[in-house]
Amino acid sequence: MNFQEMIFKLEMFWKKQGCILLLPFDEQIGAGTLSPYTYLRVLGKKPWATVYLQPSRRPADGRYGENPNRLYMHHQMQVIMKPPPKDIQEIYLNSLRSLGLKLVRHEIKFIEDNWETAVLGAQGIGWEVRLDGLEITQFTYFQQAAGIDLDPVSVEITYGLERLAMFIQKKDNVFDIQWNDDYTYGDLRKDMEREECVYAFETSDPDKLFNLLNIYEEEGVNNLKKGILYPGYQYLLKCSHIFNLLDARGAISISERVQIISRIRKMANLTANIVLRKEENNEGLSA
Amino acid sequence: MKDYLLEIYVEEIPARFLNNAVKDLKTIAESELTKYNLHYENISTFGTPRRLALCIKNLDENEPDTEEEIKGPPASIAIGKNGEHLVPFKKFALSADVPEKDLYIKETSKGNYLFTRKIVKGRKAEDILKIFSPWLIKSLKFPKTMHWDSKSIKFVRPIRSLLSLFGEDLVKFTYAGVETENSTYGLRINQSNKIKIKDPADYFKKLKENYVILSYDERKNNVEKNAHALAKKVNGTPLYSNDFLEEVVNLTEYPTPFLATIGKEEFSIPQCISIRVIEDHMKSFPCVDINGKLLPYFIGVRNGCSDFIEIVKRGYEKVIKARMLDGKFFFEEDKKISLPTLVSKLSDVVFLKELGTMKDKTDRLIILSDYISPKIGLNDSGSKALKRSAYLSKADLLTNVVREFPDLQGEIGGIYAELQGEETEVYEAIKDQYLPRFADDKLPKTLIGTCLSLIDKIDTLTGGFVVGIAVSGSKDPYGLRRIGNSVVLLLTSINMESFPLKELVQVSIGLHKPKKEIETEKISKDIDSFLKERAKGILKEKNIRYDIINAVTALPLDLIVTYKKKAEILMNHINDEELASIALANKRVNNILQNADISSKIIDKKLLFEKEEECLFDAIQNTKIKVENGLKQMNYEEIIKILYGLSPVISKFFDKVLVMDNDEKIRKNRLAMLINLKELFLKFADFSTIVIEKEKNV
Repeated sequence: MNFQEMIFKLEMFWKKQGCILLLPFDEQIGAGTLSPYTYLRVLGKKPWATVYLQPSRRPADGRYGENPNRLYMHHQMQVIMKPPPKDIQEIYLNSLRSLGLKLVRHEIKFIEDNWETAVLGAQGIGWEVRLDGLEITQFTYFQQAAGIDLDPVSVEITYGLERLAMFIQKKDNVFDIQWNDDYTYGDLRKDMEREECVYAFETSDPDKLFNLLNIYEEEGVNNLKKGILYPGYQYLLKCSHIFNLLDARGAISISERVQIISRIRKMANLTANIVLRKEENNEGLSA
Repeated sequence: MKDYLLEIYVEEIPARFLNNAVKDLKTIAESELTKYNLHYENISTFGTPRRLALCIKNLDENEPDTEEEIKGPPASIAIGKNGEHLVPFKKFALSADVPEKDLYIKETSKGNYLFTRKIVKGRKAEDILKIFSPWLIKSLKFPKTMHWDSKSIKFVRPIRSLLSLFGEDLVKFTYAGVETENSTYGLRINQSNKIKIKDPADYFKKLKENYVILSYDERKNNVEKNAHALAKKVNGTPLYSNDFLEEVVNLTEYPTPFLATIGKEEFSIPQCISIRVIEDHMKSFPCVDINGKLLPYFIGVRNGCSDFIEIVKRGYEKVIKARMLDGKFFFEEDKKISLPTLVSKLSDVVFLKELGTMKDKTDRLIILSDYISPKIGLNDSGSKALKRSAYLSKADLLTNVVREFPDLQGEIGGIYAELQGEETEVYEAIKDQYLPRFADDKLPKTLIGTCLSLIDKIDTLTGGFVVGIAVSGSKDPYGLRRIGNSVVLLLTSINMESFPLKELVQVSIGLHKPKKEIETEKISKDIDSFLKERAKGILKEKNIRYDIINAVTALPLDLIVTYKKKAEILMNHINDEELASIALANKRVNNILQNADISSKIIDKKLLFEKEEECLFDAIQNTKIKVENGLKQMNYEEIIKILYGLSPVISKFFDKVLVMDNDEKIRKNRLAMLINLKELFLKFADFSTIVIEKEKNV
């Protein structure tokens, strides 16, 4: 099964489970969780179910397209269901079966893996799912977002598509994945991977990036202070990406790192305050 | 009598919580059942990642009926003058639901009252179980719990099914929105359909058929046995700690170990990194040869049967290849940067809030290394090696490998130091600087390593006390107790007659710049008693008797290096007559000195009149020299023998000489002699604390 077919299959599968099919969120972000479709939608009482593909950029993981496993940008398939169905684990396993995997021939382990993002006041309890030792999915029950205890909780299922595709297509190198029958992952992505890495590690201008960080922060804070939630939050995401770029460039000392993280946390607190207010006024965010 | 079975079927319970949960389930069930009048043979509990199960063998089906005496109104208001039954009498009979003739009068401390007896029907076990089981689930505590559905219910992971059978009967209740059923599930991948269960015996049989081994011990034995057999095929043994074995076993309901191979190219990284990859990333066991050298194989444990295990094995091999290449990448990247370059960047790494950066810590370690070297007699090259290792010790905190595998701090720093041409003593000390991490852990191989580990820990310890993050009750946020234990273990491993610990602690406190002089004194005292407490705990774990522990820990802190050796010697002699007599003599001396006015310990020879006191005087002088020599040579066995030699002399002294003579000069002279005697014994231990059998009998 080729890569694009996998994407269709998973989207179709979750669509049938009642998930709204959304398109990737159009910001450069590090994980599907940061998308407002997840982060701002797991709050509130109203049921919510969605599936979306999310390209995720982690500059420090880039290897110029020369490492068979590591990427600057990879693709996550993100599923959120609030409240979680009672047989959600079984549904998830069926989604793997829908990709043609015969699970009796393999091993599935759910290994404890909880995460916490202090910056965003978010935490979840769950597992990483391993298929024959390969981590293919993060399976988490979201407990808190923006410092608010979630009720009901949401389940968050995040597939690492490249790993899953390498497994299914029996490839040792991510760039050998068949995207469709004519094009490989490498044909489509390798140049971009390499250039993104050249930029992140060599040609980016730290001074300009620091300037951008300041500008984005100011614009974000100004708007969040006015209660403008979504645009303000998008500036937080921009800051987060710039921070990741500076980090990959080796341009931040550890004390600066602490300081930038605390600036981003302030934006997250402003975001949380708006969210809390909306909650109190019963303007449930997912309403 | 029937068996009762409860199964809580959940999404994967974290491996680290499982065994405790199984234990707690049994304890809670046993204590809860004492509240009911039901007999049973025994309770057993089981656990796998997917289920916790409890089986009560031969449980009574009913509580027995019991007779109860009920108190009514006072006889004076219930019975009329002529013995007629008044209203309260009738009301009581009615409320107790007994005929009026069954009421009787009984005298109590408050006068005569009406009473009656009533048969209380025992409850049905089934009704009790309906309350007992949900309560049991609710009472189970885990270190970390979660919500998944209703806000009010928390559990370690979502509960998805409940099985509750008393014999063949379903005991109905609902918990966390789940209704009990007479069915369960087998190993997930093989069997996603419900399995009907007839009765508790059927449960055990059906689960086995469906690839679930309920008993941890059975799974563990299976894993150990097969892992050893597989490793043997490549002339190796599997490497694992008990904790890690438990984790691996508790990731499975039906474990099947298999042997997998690591490719040559990926294998060319330091052994410690490979081991971390195999354990942390693969949850598998490394294999080593008889020399402890890592072999290019590992043992994975599949959760499932052996069907298609070749496919699973190939999957693991592919994953480990990628993981090892990552490790190799990090290692090669780190090698490009020299350790001194990293040291200069340590000012960016916070050590502990309020205690500055890792660079600050490094600077303090260098000062402490300079201070301690001459005190413990290191020669010039030894002193240099200790200083150099202190300077480089924390550099590896900034390497990629430590970021990926924090456990490798120290060890990997030592490897980089070796590669960068540092001397053997330096890189060995860096490697060992965190040892020992726990009670039975390895100790540093060299004295330099021991000193580096020691000054590092002393620095953290004194820092903790100076900024007031010290230990209190259950609070120990920086793990100072563990650090204190390591300090004691390091010191007891040092072969010296005494160690300048007190001064070292004071110098170290000074480096943290406490506010006042007085504060230094107080902190130093606190650390003194803190370390003594730690020493007592450690000796206790070595099965040293508490009175012997008190005898050795009464010695000054600098003699901490001798506590264990002395305690062990005393334990060997615990049944000696002579030891008992020495202990008695010391108690006697203490008693006399306690009530005496003592001004000087100088003995005036001219005031010795009795033969026995002259003998004791001579014996003390002779013994003192011998004991001091023995201490220098650390020949503690010999010292015991020498001290035994004093015993008859002391006896004779006490038999013939009255210490509390009427003449003040003579009295003070004899008291001075006793002080000398006491101090002589105290060179080895405080014998007066030793409890002797006779004393116990009195």
